[in-house]
Amino acid sequence: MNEGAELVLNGLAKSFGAVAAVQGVSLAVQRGEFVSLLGPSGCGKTTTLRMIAGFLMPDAGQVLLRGRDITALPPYRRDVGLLFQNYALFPHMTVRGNIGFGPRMQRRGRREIGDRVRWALDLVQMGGFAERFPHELSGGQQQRVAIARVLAAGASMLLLDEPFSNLDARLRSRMQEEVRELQLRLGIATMHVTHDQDEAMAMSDRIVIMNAGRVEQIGAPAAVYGAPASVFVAEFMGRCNRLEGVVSRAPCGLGWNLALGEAGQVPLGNAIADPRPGARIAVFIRPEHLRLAPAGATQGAGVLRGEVRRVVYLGSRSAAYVTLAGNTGLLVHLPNDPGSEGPGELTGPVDIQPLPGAVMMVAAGS
Amino acid sequence: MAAWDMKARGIGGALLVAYVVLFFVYLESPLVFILLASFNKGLTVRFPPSGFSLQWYSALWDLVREVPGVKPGLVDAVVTSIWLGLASTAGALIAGTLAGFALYRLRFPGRQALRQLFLLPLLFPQIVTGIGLVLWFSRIGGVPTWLRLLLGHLILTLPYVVVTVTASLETLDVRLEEAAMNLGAGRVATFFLITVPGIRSGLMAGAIFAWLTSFSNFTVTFFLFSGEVQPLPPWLYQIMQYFIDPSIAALSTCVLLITLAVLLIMNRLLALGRLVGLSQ
Repeated sequence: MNEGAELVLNGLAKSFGAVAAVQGVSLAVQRGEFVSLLGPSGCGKTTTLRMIAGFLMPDAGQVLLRGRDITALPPYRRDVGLLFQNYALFPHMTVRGNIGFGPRMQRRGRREIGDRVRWALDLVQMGGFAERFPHELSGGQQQRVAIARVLAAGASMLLLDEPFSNLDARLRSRMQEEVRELQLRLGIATMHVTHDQDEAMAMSDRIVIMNAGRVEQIGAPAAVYGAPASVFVAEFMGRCNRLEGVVSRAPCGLGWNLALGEAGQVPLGNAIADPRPGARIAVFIRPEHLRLAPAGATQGAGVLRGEVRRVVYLGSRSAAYVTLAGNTGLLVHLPNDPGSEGPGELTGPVDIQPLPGAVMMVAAGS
Repeated sequence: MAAWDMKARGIGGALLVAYVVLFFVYLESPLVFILLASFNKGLTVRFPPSGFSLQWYSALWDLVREVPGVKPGLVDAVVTSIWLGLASTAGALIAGTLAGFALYRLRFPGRQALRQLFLLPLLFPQIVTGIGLVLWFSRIGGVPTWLRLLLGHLILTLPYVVVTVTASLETLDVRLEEAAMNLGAGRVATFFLITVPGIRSGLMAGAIFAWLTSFSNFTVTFFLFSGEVQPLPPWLYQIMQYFIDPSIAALSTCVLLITLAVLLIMNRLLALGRLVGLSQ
């Protein structure tokens, strides 16, 4: 799988004193692929990025760029372009000076430096700003210049260190789209560090979820969201309902249910691979995979009973806070139809039914 | 707005203003006194001045041409002081920047203690430094006067540069240097193209302190100068033993102007690294 990969990390490890920041991270980024390292602060994602960029020396493991071992190379011989969180534009240089810095360090000719600067400025649509100084630009413009600077240096791979976190929400999503489109157009392999799962899903071909210095799961956005490999991934990738109950045989016929006592039953469908009747297990259901109906309106055994405490209108959807018998809380996301004011009439006792395939089994203990 | 504020503060505000004015007058009184004395008509300085005259400046002109019994002359002393100031500033900038960079960037045990040690010469009584240097140089022997003066003044000027450079290194964003290296700049290129411009204000402050310290130093200089190489402060001291009249005041005014001129030139020179007049 690592044949022809742009970047391969092989068992990277790094400790700071007694703190093991990164513990054996292995992964590969394919040519032209956009991979996000996603995790909470302190999970080791930034440490990993800094080891790739050469600012930290790993205690163990290797960094391979196009098959070449660059683990011991200094930062200035690595050929990976890093986009900094605060952009790190040189304040004493103009936009032109900043963007031309990379080619200048590569000792390119005057004409080639000029061509590169123009090319990079056009890519980020900042053609008219060459003579400005960084402090004369807005945050979004500084970001574009920083992108142009990295691209003009001609690195074979891009590293993004939470570059959107200083932008306001609207500008952030626009820059995410622009960077992703630019990345696709140039076909440049990119590794992106973020703690924002929405950003990771919006931009990535694959997501690497990290926790406490280790890789929890690697997969496409749909895979890590829909089939999380661990409790941590399930809960980090989005809101999640955790239901604990006892495995029991469905009353009439085939299949298995999860019995939650008075609250009712949840059909486990195909989710359970190794059913053991009587075992106590936990399953996870995303809030948007549940449906509500007035109490008693639903036939069959695979139904939970509860009471709607509160409904919040959120624009694209509404959130209903439901309490099950036995006092388990449940969050349900309901689509808002056009013209409706949300399912505000749904109060009091309700039936809750998971959509088919909604139940996610997650290996315990991880 | 300001007037309204004053009114609102009433008598407290008035007292504050009076205090600030008095304080300022006290601080600047030697300067004012010298200016008044240099333009005074009589031989003694009176307040209010007894009349305006440039006679002491023309008397100064005679001093410039020839001072009976004192060699070298005033022009030599001024030139010596300016060069000594510039040389010790340049030396302190280079050595102090490297030391400051090492103190800031290298992590080694005892780093903080060493940093305090660098400041020690500022705390020594200068007379101790002066005597120590005289003893040392007479033990070694054969050190030319200009080198003795330069080495002595470096001890006085280095701490200022180390202090100002480490202070501005601490506010410099390390990511700028990382970005430069990421773009292919080696460590030397990064230092000169990113670090040095980034600590420019610290270098400027250090240079100004260093030059002023060297130019105006009397105590240590007094122990190190010799007949043929005389910086201005000991030269003035000797002159005053012969003449004590307001031409000394006229000379002091001129020294003040020279100091200001050199400071302005240094400010301009060090700002050149920025290409444009951006102040940070």
